[in-house]
Amino acid sequence: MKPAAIVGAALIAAYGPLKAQELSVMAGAVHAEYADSINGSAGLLSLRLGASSNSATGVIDLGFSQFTDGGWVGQAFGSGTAIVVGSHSRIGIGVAGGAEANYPDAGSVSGSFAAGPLLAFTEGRLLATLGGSLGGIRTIDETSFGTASANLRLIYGAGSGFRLAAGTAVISGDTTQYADVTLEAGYSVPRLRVSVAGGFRVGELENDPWGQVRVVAAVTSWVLLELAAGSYPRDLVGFTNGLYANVGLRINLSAKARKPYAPVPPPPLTVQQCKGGLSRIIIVFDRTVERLEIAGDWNGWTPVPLTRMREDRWSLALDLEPGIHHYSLVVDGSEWTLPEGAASVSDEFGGLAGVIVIKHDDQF
Amino acid sequence: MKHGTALITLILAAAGPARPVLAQEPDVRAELVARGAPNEFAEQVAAIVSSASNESLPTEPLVAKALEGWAKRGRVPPDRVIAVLNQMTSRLRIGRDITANAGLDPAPASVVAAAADALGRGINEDQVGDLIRSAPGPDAAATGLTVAASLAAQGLEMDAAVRVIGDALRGGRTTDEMLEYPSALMGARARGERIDEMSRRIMEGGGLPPLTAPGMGGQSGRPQSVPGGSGQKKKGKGQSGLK
Repeated sequence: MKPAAIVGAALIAAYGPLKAQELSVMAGAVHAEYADSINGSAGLLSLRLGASSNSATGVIDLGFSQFTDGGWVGQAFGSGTAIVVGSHSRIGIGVAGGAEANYPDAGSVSGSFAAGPLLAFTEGRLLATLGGSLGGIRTIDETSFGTASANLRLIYGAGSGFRLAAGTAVISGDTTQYADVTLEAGYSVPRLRVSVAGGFRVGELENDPWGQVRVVAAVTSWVLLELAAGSYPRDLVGFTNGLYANVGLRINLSAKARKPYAPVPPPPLTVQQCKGGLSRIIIVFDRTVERLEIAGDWNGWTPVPLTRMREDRWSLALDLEPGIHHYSLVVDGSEWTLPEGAASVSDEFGGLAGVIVIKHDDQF
Repeated sequence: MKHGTALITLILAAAGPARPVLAQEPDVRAELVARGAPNEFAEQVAAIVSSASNESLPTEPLVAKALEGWAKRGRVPPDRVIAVLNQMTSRLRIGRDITANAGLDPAPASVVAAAADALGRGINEDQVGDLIRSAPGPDAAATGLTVAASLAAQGLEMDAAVRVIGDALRGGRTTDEMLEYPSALMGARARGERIDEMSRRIMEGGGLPPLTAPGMGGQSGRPQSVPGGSGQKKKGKGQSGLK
């Protein structure tokens, strides 16, 4: 194992700032036709708090629904997953947990919770998870019992924004045992995500097959339009199956939110070796600029123009000595900046300088 | 002499591999004036560089920082550049003393510059001295200090950065091996992002309708957007139970 790999494995545990946080509110409406022939329309208002680091993700949703007939329901959902690295970086071992609670104006509190270990494996575009949980349920009839479950799920990123997923879960609670099989197909581009999901159940809590479609579109960088419709099955809490359709606008209030469905970005700066001892610097700069220059400590911070390879790729061959160099980009001759996500250090002037590492063996 | 050639000569005159600190006075004043800097600013910079040279401090970091500050003049006032140069001079003095006390006397310019850079990134004097003493030679010491400072600047915990480089120096790692560490950190971050991506994809469950968190049992049920009950006026109405 190369020393750098050992160092990398040691460093990963020490480097864990939050990558994204979410604070958003959603306002919308829903119409549902429950299986007991009662229809309901309601206005929705919900608050979402989310955070993710390099190894954990968690989200809490707090919602309030006001029915047109006067009743209301408060709801809370929370879930989290934490992954720790195993001996192989493609294997994750962690825990997952979640809970939900429902509080109607004229009823009692019901809900569920569950938590358990999770084993995840990723190879290329495939992600497989195997999980188990123990939990508890308080039904709408005010009875309580424990649950146990096991779950296998496969998610395959088919490329070009397409994703396929399949899962099966075996659940046991009180005197009821059943298994769900679910299938899903999704398509996402930077400002739009569409998913279609369906499933069927075998066992003691039988239900007709169900299907759902969900569309999320980014209206602006901080406003999402969410549309969903379909059917859903019964659950152990006591809620019947039904049909639903809802629409809502989610407004993102956080400054460090994950961009909606943006694809995994390429490295902001890469160094390729060239013959003759030159290093080719390739920079991703995803902005509409006419002229992009690079300046650094190797040439007394004199800007030299980069060549545009394609829309967001710029390059230049430089004669750099081995070592750590600092640089900055100059946009249209005036703005000093760095590629988004580039490794950087303080320039002591209240800004940042980018970092380029050139090794001896990078040179021919 | 062409402008670029003169500049390179200027930089090379003040820089170089591990060598004793020498009194050097590259004409930074002329270079700044050639770039349009006011005479007063250029004179102030030249005075700082000259003073550093008289103290046998390496002047290359000061020259480079002055040129960087002037290049960024759109957002960096000249007063700020002068203040930063004075701070750097102080760190260079401390770096020279630490280097000499660590057994490298006369202090090589590259080690002094790297020590000053490390101090500026938050590595304390004891840690800088320990790293220099751990190095088998000046080149390794300079590279180790620079890499430790870079790791710390990229968000690695300071003690961890110093420990990693200290172990590398004592373990006889080459400068090229140490220069892999920043890339290793970036790689670790990339792998971490992949783990994060894994975690996010698990949370999203591939879009499968979640009632509770995926991976726990997949109790497919009512979507979050569907409230439980159509205004239940009494228990059991609006939603039927299991029984």
